[in-house]
Amino acid sequence: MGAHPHQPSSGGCVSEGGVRALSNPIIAIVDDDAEVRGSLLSLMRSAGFDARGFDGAVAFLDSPARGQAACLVTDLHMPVMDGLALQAALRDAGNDLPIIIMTAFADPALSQRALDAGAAAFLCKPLDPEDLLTRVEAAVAGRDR
Amino acid sequence: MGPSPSPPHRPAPPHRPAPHRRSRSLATLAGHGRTQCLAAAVLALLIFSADAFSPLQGAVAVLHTAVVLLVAISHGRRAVMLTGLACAALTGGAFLAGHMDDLSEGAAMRLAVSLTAILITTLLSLSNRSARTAMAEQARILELTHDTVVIHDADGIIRYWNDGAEHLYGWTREEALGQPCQQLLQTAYPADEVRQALAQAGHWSGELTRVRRDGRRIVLASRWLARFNGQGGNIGIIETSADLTEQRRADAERQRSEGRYRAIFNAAGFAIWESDWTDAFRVLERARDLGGGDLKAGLALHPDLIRQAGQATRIRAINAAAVRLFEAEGAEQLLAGSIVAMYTPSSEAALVQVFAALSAGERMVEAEGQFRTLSGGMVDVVLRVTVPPEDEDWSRILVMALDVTERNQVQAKLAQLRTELAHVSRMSTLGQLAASIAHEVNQPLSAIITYGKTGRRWLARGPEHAHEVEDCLQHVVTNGTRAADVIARIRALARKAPPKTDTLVVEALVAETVALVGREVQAKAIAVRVLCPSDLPPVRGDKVQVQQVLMNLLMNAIQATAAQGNPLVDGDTARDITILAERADNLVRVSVRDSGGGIQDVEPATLFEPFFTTKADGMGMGLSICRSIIEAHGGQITAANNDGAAPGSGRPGATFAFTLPAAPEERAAGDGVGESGGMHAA
Repeated sequence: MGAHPHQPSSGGCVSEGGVRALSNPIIAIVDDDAEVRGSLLSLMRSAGFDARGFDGAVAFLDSPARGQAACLVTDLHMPVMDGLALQAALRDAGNDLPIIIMTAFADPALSQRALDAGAAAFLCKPLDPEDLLTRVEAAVAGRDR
Repeated sequence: MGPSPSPPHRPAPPHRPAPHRRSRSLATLAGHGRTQCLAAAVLALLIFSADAFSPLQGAVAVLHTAVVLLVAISHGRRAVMLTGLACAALTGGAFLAGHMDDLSEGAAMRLAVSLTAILITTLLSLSNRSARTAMAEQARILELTHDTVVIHDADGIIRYWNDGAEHLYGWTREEALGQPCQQLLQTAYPADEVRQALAQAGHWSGELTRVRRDGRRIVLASRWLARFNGQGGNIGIIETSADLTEQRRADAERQRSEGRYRAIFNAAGFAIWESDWTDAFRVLERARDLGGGDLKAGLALHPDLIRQAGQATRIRAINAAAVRLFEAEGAEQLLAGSIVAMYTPSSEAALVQVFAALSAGERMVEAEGQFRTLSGGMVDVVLRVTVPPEDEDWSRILVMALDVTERNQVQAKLAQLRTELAHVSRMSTLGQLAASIAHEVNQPLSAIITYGKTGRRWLARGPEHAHEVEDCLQHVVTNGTRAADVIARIRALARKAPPKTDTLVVEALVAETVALVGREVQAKAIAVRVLCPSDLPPVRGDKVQVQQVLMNLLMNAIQATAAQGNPLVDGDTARDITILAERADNLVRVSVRDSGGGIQDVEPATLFEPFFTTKADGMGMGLSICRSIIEAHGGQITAANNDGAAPGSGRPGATFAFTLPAAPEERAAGDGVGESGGMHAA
């Protein structure tokens, strides 16, 4: 796991963390496919999360959710910036947000790269929604600790 | 053993040197003749006067014999006979005139003596006359012969010199007569041997050289005959000679030419051999008869005759390159044998092509084939078979073989690499296509599953979330439709290129496809036979696609057949594939019959289902695609195990066949196509 529980978070995160404690944890969903994104948002909401959807990595990075989210679920293959690049951008900025990467292409090499770079999980589509929820909850719980 | 008493062939020579004198001056003789005639008449009258009117008591009339002789010198038989009769008449007349009144016994006696003398003289003159005529004719022959005839006396001085001698040696008769013969002609000859032969046998024949008047040395075939006088003394020589120079030159040229040919033959860097194919010719004639005048048909019906014809060739001469190429220890190992018979099954068609071309009267034919060497190896060669001019019975067929084994190996390697590359690229294209399809389908599937499960979760959370459930169900439907659209799009993509409809000549298509797998067939030593009636109607279809189907079936057949043991053991000729094209109503049926292991453990129809494969590295798409192509063309594709055993082996093998509609412009169902069931069984 790439998360470091004892390391103090960045200033932005701390102030946002105060808000988070009062409401449901925010889960960011990044996928260029509207239907897949919609289904995941509905799934997250049904589990009591505050789900926010983005149709691309740049849209997510530009949004306040970047500092608020407790977990990021992103597609691997996307135009402009793919899941691995998004992961790298967040890590480079010192953001230890737990990241779950999904793909419609099962590629062991890419999967390994993502895990090596600190992804919380690498899942293949079609997804098992229960499995995804378990992992999201685990990531959120680990971060809260 | 003594010398033979007389020469076997002896020209009739004149027995005295007279002929040349006579024959030389026929015109003068004619002039003399008239003078002699006059003289004879005068003489006869004088004798008559003396006989009749002089008081001489004696057989004066006997002097008439001189008249007869005088006439006989230059006149013919009739003149001599008339002269004889006239003389006899004069004698009788003189007798009557002188002794009419005084018939004494002595006078009668004298008359009888005179008449007898005239008679004898006339007869002798006549006989002499005919001998001389014969001799004159012989002399004429001597003049006319192209060979030289020269007569020299015991001292070697030329006494007779004919036109042939004038013409050949260059000296005229006037110049040559009286000259010493051997000095004039600078004769080079074995003098001692000649002398001895003439002394012992009376004749000599052999070669000698002489120098013509123009200084040119010539070679002659000469025959000499010793001339003897009545006492057996040598009085000279008659010789007749013929010029051998031109013949010698031609012989030498022929020899040089033959030498050059041999040198080229032996030193050539490529294999050459000269073969007697007369027996092969007969075998092929039989095959043609069996094929009803069509050699190829005959050989297709009786393939054993191909080998028979090959074995009926006999090597007459072979060069060193050929000995090396066929890995023999020496030329003698190959002489009288046949290299042509050492063809591998895959070269059968090439051999048939050679036989057919030569039988059709072509003087030269080229074909590529594979042959076994004496040490068991294999060589690929381009054969050039030439029928030399005026060798109508094929007794001196010239075969040249260019070794292309290495070239073929390189080509085979290249072809293999190309095939592998094509396979890899096909696989990677297919992989990309599959990945792209997977992505397109997995997205909606993922959404459907997620919406489905989420819907259930909302449902569990209570009726106040009913609108969420409805939303989920709505999206399940939307994404289901979306997935179906993806599939429909892919199918539409595949249908985008409509099949082209060309008019295809089946025979050409089959030949082209067989040529494409030529290397594969050769490498695996399989004989491919094509049976295609020439009056088969064309079919309509996409050439590339139909060829792809045939190629697929052919490759399968090759692999199945090749999987059956080693062909090079005991010359197993049963490793063959037969491609048969035939008409079936308004369809053309093309079948590929292999001699492989057959279809095992499955229903033949299963083979055409997608992803069915018996090959470790197969995708199982080949036959499935073939079926799609053929059905899109309005035909059918089938597979079946062959009945019974293939000829020559216990393996039944399998037959894959497809049908295609005959081109519509072709006349409706005709009876032009022969009964092909027989060919199939063969």
